[in-house]
Amino acid sequence: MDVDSDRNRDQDADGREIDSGPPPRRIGRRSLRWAVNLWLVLHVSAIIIAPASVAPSSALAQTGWEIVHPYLQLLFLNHGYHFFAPEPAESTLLGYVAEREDGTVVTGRIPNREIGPRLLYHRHFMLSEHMAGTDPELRELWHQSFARHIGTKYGADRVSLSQITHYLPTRQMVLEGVRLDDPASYVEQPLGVYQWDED
Amino acid sequence: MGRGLSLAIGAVRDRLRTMSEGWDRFWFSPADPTLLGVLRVLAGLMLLYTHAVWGLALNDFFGPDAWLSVELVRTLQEYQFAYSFWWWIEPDWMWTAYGISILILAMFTVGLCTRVTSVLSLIVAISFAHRTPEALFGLDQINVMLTLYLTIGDAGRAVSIDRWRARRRGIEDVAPSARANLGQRLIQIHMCTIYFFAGVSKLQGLAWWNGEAMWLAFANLEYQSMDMTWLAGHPLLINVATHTTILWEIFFCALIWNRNWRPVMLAGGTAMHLGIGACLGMWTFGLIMLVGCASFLPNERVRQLVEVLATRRSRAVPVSFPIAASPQAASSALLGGPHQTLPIVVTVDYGPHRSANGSQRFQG
Repeated sequence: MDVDSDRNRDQDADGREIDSGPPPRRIGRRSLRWAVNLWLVLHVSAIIIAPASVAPSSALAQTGWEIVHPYLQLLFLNHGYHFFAPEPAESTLLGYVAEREDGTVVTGRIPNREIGPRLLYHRHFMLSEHMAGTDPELRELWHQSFARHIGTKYGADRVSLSQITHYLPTRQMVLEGVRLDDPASYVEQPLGVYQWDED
Repeated sequence: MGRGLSLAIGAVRDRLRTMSEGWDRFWFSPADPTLLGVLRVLAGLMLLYTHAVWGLALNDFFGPDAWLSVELVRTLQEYQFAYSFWWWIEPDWMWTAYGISILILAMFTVGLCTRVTSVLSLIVAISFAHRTPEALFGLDQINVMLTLYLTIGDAGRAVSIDRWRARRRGIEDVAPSARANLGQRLIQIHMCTIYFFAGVSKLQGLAWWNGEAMWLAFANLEYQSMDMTWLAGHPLLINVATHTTILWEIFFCALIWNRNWRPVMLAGGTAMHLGIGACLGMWTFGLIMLVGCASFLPNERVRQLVEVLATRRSRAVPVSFPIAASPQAASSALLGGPHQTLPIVVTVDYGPHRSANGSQRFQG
């Protein structure tokens, strides 16, 4: 069987493709077949190594990741596929207060249910979720980036940010009448005040 | 002794030959490209929608003062092999680059110059993803994965403008192709990998064992798009949903290859992903996963459906089946055997991975 067997077809008088039988064995085709087979083995191994190397993982899996990650990152296949794992957890939101020079104030929060369509809402939700899970050394860079964006968007030169953790109620709490948006389920932590002079 | 050794060597050689033939049959049997063409249209529509939505907030995510600044993303991607054409686009040219990207994705979706536009679509999808890595979730991962394999499978050979143009040139039948089979198989194997690791990674979570995990998903206001809090009074229903989900994910990679279990697994997957769409508001993710699952649909049925739809829309065209409408049928025909579905041809031992994975971080 040839890797590119559709090329081994001829056309009849009506222009229809007909099967011309097994292709002649040529060194080029055999090399191509071996190359494709080798790539298949490496590729399938790589896409398995990626999720297998997510912590906690073995030294073997991590070594495998060191080898395959350039290839996977290049193709944006470097994923763990750990959807809702180890288990669904509380959400993280970003709160902000943007103060303009004229004294007016804009307050907001992402994700905001007024953001539409739903996909765009999820894009904003991922921003705050990933911010919460980032490397502590990079958090300041995240905050500066978010503050700069909010300041530019609303024409503000002073932006206060806060991280809001929204805890989940238990079944028992809901049965007792606690709502999912109960104010007590939100815990706010100030992230800082960012101010800059455009001049 | 010598005879025994030669018998053993012969047995090993026969086994290796059988495995080699099985490998070839699995990956390279010529397949009807119709299913891959349908997947291209569906994945292309999702790509178009996904990137059209970026356009509603292009400045917020790709502008000079985006949520994720260039400095932040470049720092996050330090020592990574993440490329994006967005790093070379000046702000004044942002909308032009976006417009060209959308045009490429539209051409890929309708199957125009697909061999070129599929590669360009892959570059577009990866570039958008690498510019905004922290605003992404599973949808984007599957989008790129499908585009890659549709490119490899030369998915423009059917259900495309390229096909229509070929027909106008007098080429009536679309020949089965090994590339089409390769693309389809890669999607199938990747979907199995995704579901397996999605399942086993959950085994680290207490809530997936005590049956409360689905409640935690339903009780998350930020995800919720349908009020499911009525389930609080029905813990057994929550337990059933939790355990069914994890069992389905873990065993998908094995049972989907079994002809009796395949409809069950596909039906279960459809219910689960539509549930994700309806309850958690993640319609895009749910639908693109179903596109991936559709790679397991029988080629013959898909071809029949497409031909029926095509016949309704244009002149009546007799339904014809080439040498093979599916990899299985192709291999049977080529081997001179009856037209029947092959049993499982690949088994993968996932054992060593079961206890070696996990994540403490969110990965949507």
